[in-house]
Amino acid sequence: MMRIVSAFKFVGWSPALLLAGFAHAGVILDTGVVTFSPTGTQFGRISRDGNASVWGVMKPFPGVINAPTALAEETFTIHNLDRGFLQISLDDPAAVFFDAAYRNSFNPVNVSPNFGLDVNYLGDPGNSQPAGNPSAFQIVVPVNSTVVINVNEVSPGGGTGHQFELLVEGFYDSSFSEVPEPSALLLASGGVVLLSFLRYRRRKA
Amino acid sequence: MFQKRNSLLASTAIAGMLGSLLLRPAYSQDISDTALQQIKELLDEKNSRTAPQQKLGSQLVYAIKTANGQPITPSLPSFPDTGLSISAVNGVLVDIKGSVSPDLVSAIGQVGGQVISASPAYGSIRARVPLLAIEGLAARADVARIKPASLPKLQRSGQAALSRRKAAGADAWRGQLIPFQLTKLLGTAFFIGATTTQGVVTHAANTARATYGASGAGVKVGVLSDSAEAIPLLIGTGDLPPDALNVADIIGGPGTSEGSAMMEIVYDMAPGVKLFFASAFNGEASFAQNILNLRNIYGCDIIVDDVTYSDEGVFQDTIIAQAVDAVTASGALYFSSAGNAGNITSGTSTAWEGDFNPGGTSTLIPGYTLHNFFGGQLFNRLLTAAGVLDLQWSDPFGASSNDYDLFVLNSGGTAVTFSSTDIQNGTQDPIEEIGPASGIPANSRVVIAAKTGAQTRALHLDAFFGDGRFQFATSGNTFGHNAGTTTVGVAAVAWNSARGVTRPFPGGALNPTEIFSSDGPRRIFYSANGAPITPGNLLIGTNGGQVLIKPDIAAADGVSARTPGFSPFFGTSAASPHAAAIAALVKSAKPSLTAAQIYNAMTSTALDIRGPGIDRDSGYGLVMADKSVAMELQ
Repeated sequence: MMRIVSAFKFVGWSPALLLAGFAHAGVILDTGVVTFSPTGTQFGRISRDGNASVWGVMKPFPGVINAPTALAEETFTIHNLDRGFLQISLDDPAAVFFDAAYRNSFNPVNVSPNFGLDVNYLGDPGNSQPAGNPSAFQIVVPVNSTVVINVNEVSPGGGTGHQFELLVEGFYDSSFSEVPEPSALLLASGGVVLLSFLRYRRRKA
Repeated sequence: MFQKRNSLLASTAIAGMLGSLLLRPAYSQDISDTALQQIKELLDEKNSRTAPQQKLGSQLVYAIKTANGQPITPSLPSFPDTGLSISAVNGVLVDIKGSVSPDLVSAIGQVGGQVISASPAYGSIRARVPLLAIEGLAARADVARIKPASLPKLQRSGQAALSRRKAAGADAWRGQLIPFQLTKLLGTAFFIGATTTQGVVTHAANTARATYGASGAGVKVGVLSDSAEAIPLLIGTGDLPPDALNVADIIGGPGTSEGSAMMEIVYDMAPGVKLFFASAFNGEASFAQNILNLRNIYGCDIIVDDVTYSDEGVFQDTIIAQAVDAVTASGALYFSSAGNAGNITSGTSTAWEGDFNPGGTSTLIPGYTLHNFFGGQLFNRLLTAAGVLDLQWSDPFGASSNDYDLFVLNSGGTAVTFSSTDIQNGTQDPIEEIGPASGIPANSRVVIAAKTGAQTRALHLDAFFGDGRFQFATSGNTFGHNAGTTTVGVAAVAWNSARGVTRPFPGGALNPTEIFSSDGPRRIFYSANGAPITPGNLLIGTNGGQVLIKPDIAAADGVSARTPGFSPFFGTSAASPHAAAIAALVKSAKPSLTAAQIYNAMTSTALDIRGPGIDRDSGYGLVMADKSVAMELQ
């Protein structure tokens, strides 16, 4: 079953909620240690080109290898993101998985040349478990986006019974800020004041 | 009587046979007679060299003989792969030591050579010289020595084992500007931000900046690596400051632009610094001079590099480390990558150190004794393939009079596959090097021979390129200026080694050093000027010399960087600029601090990792920006 997560959405009509947004941690999704539970099949997999997607660089789609070999995959969908700078980490001690991010949906098909793996592609880590550490990559998306993280085995049946942990962190800028920038704060504060004034005017009327 | 005599004779015969078995030299068990004969012939060849040939590295002698149609020895017609860097146009890349003058430079040109760099101060020339002209140059009185050019290595992890210089192509950098130009054209709504090292969070640099206002302002930081072609690109994307300056570029590039990736890290951590880059890839003399220039001409208070040359002194600070000594004596702080040669803790060590242990003699190699590595075994087996093998011993550089030689045999010990038989008779360096372009296969047997009369010395054997691991391995992988007396050597810890969210390093068992991070400690036997530290005691077993805490500290790697091809950026190459940046933050917070005070602030507040207290893998531990700055402001 596809796992769906709704990210916290900041609604700026209350000072209390405004303050609550600043206390919001950077974690959008943390699966904890889970056992691979495939939700679908893809054909081939993204080439591990050694280059991780990072903020500031739109990494081109690196291509497909081992197609059309069927590989099990599992997706995680995140809705209504309230921040656009995402860092996605996959801890996969056995190095049997690879992950990638997609905008709105992930739609593998058994059709060459790229078997649907390039459609809506946002980024990938370039390597599985480099030097024994969790892989990580970064993407930038507009606020209120939907992002799908695809975790696939790198060899047929190779993911069966293996565990991993997927972590998605969200930040407000490329400096890892967990609170909005002052300019954004000013804008939000202005919006709160305006809305509050309008509600006061309506009541008085 | 006859029966008794026969019994006695039989018993004697049996005893004799048994005795001969017990007394049979281990040589024949580890090295076949054929291989011993080849070793003897190679040593005979060495002893027969002419005066000019005695000035040459043995790989050059072998190549010249082969080019002249001469067999190297009666049973070894040639070594097909000496690893020499040969250009069809100008010949072999060599380092020439001697009295550098316009006359010598002219002479090199006259024989069809090309001088790449010349340093009268260091008595060194790096040049390409036609192979068959080398011996003629060696005959000159102003030439002391000619050897294959020493090989530089970047301390970035993940590169190909035998990669010596990656040519990215000049146009690659211009191409990378296009995505950014497109985003600017589309408007700021599409701006996707600069790239920032995770070290900003894991080292708590953001906290140091926010809490104490430290930014690196007023601090000049010099970075040395292979090249920095991406500087213009990174200035355009905001990943480097507009005044970042390349003061000495790589010659004959392009390189990999690892220097700009290091500069990015420093800038991310300490955005107020002024940054300079100089190449360390134009030879050791050039590297040393650029270190001095960054300090003396450009006023860098903090300097950092990530390069190692294969023949840097293990037991003595040689010219690069001496340049580090000079700038630190004038008040600068110098950081260097510890290296990615592995460590004993992780089982990845690519080094072996020990005192020469005589393995007995053989009539097949008169005048020489082979080293007994352990339990009578006369070789160290390579468990994995290696790129370059280096042997050094505890003699002073430029004054070695104890002659050791290095051989590689095939897996069965039946034939010599590679050899290094440089002459050491009083004025040479205590080093032998084997570096075939195709590498040295796994399961090869590495043999060390000492000429009769050679005094027992401490030995260091390492696999410089690649991940060559030995059957017998020890700690002590970090060496050269990376472990120099006044260098701050930096080990690597993955920024996300503790797993979980991006957060400050917790330290302890959650943050081990990387499996490839070079360990220490570093024992040295000589001062930089060649004076023995413990005269008469030049052995490890008798605790000779001085043991240095190396590496000194640890910092983050595996981080994001904008320089094309450097994300993730693994290796002690990524760690050293994090540490340098923390020093810059401390200095900017309190400019009156001396280098020693900054060093103390960093080491005394470091998070303990690996072994309790100071350890061979991480030194004082993981340095933290907030704690280092706080200590000096309280």
